[in-house]
Amino acid sequence: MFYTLSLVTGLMILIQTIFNSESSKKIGIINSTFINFITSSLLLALLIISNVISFDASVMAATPVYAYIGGFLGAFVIIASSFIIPKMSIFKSTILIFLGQVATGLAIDYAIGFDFSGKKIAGLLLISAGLLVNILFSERKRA
Amino acid sequence: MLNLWAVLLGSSVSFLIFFNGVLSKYTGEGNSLVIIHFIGLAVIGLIYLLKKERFRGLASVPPYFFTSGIIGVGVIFFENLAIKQIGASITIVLLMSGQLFASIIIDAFGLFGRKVYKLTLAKTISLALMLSGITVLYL
Repeated sequence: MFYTLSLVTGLMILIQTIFNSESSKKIGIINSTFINFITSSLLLALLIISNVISFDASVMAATPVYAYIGGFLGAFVIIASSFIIPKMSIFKSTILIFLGQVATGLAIDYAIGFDFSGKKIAGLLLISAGLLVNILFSERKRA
Repeated sequence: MLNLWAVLLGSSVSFLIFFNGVLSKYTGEGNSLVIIHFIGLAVIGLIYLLKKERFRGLASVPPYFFTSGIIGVGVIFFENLAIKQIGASITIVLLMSGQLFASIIIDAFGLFGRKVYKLTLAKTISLALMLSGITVLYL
């Protein structure tokens, strides 16, 4: 189910974050990010060669320009966070980033007219409350 | 001002997940992964050149780090699948929950050679809230 998938993906994100931060301590954020993208590109090249996925550039013709923003934002976020996060307490950066993420998520869903059933809203509120409690009342550190 | 940048950072994360989902809707899963990573590689490559970084000390990098790119592909792939099905807010909140669950466990047992942070009452309450919220979603 896609809820479970998202949770597992969250775990993967954390592991990646830990790996990245450990590596950045040794060789810096830019080098680490570069290696990160190189290895992902190698994996994708491998998948294309072994026909697991196929790349068809012609699909790009009918794709609106704004769809490509994600790729740019990805690299931007990694670099920007390496500047911003060290400049404030983990606690503060976590709650501010959390606010930005959740508020934007809701705005996006509202803008695209996502259908919220009662239980989805209830679940969302409970989970957000849990996240907030953790950020506000946990000790001042983040993995 | 710095606070605003932090909020914008969080905002950018949500936008990037959303737009990647849009791209995968137009171009399909495989194509979107290739495009997203190619753009990312180009951007970081540019920064690499501009900042004249050097590939120094590669030997000191722990070997497990080289799997992070593989993990990254999986992350984007699953994010694209999820956001198209369950929308932005729920995907984002669940992604954060997954990270939080993992970090609480990693902290509690001191995994990855890190310091142990015992389970506190606050963490337990937050876990209970999150688990109940997730249960409600599954109902």
